[in-house]
Amino acid sequence: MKKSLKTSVQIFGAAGLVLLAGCGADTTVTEPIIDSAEVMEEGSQKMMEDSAVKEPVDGVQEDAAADAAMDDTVIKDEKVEEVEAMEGAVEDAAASQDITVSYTSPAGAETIAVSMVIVEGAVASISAVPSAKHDVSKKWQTAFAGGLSAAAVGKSLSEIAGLDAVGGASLTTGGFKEAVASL
Amino acid sequence: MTQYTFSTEATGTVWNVTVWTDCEEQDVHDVWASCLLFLQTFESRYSRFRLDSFLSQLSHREGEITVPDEFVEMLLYYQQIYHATDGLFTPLVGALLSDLGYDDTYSFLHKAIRGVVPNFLENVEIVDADRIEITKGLHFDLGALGKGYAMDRVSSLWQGGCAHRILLNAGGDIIHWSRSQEKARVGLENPEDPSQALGVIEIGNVALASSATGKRRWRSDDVTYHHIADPSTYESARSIDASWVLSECAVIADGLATSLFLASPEALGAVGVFDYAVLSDSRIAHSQGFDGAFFTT
Repeated sequence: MKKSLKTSVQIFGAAGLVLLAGCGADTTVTEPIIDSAEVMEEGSQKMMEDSAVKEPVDGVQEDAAADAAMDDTVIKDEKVEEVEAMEGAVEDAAASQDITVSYTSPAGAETIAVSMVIVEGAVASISAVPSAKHDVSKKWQTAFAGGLSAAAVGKSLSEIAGLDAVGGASLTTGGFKEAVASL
Repeated sequence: MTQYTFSTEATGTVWNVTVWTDCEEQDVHDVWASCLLFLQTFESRYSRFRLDSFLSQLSHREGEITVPDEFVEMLLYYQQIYHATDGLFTPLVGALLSDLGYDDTYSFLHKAIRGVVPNFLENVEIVDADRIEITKGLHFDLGALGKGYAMDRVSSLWQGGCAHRILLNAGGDIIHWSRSQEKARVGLENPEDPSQALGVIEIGNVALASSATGKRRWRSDDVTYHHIADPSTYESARSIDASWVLSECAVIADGLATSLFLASPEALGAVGVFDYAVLSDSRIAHSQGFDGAFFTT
């Protein structure tokens, strides 16, 4: 066990991907939307029942998929740059603008179409149409297109019925609050 | 079915556990006792704010050291996310956080930066399941995923015990688990106003973690700092205002909620399966699988 762990770690370390066997909770996964889904599904069957470190599940063959997934990150970066350029360009009036962004994915050249409405130099609304050819790229583009949304507004917790919990950043503990107050 | 609620303070925040079970009351209290024991041990080992903790003591050690196996396990998670964030997500950020003012006395005074954050992979080698080899003077901080790891462990104590359903809430990071597929309805806290939610999500058997820069924030020399440090700029990270991550494991959800301040969601796909929402400039962006309803104008 110990020997094989060491070997695995070194292999994964070199390849840029480490897989742990599980997380201590025997739960099922929500709809997977990314490529390493199957890796984690397999791994999660061998969850940690105790404190012992499990051997990372064989994940070497998944590196290609994971690398491909990582390389698709250019989509978002390029698009953000385009948005900023647009804001500077059209400051005076409301304007609608369609852009097709090209980039190179591991599977070759891809494009994504972005449409936005600009009012007084600010992006008022934005939408994206996935137009990738390769399946992996298509998946990423769809995930990104689904993520564009309107401005969020807060609603008083007391107005929301039937909440079991509130998910947010860590509640500030007493010590931290007092220390800030004493500054 | 009886419902129990337990509460304690650990990992710098309040932990609440609601348990639905048919078990004998004594058995339920025994499981909670083991949760408390685990959390106390965890805190005494891994608090960066306790100078006598195992973690603080590591800065005086070097060479091959025998460590708790859970420490190796957390380091493995750090390695995974370290790769996906090009080295920005690292447990060696302890000295930087202190220098920015988030130190063991909560001084909130920005001091001289001691130098570059050491390369994690070059300075920390995992030898086997309970041994590591480190260089001298490393200041560890496990704040970016330690709580999530502890949540998974506490959750597994209940799941291995006699719970039918649990809702674990550790300061706004949540694990919900049910044998009969019930869902929990969770508000997504407005980081600017904790009395409000920006949306609601129903979660099945999954962990939900969140990170925001609104809390644990301080000012020094007219610059505002918060608890997420970017080792590439030696400053607090600023790209987004809040993040929520759904994942099977709380340790992954916790680590990725922080990582979304340092890297794109696409880059983090290599770490594992997750869904996310991020708040930036009052706008929410989310992955398709993040099935929450947001309140919008």
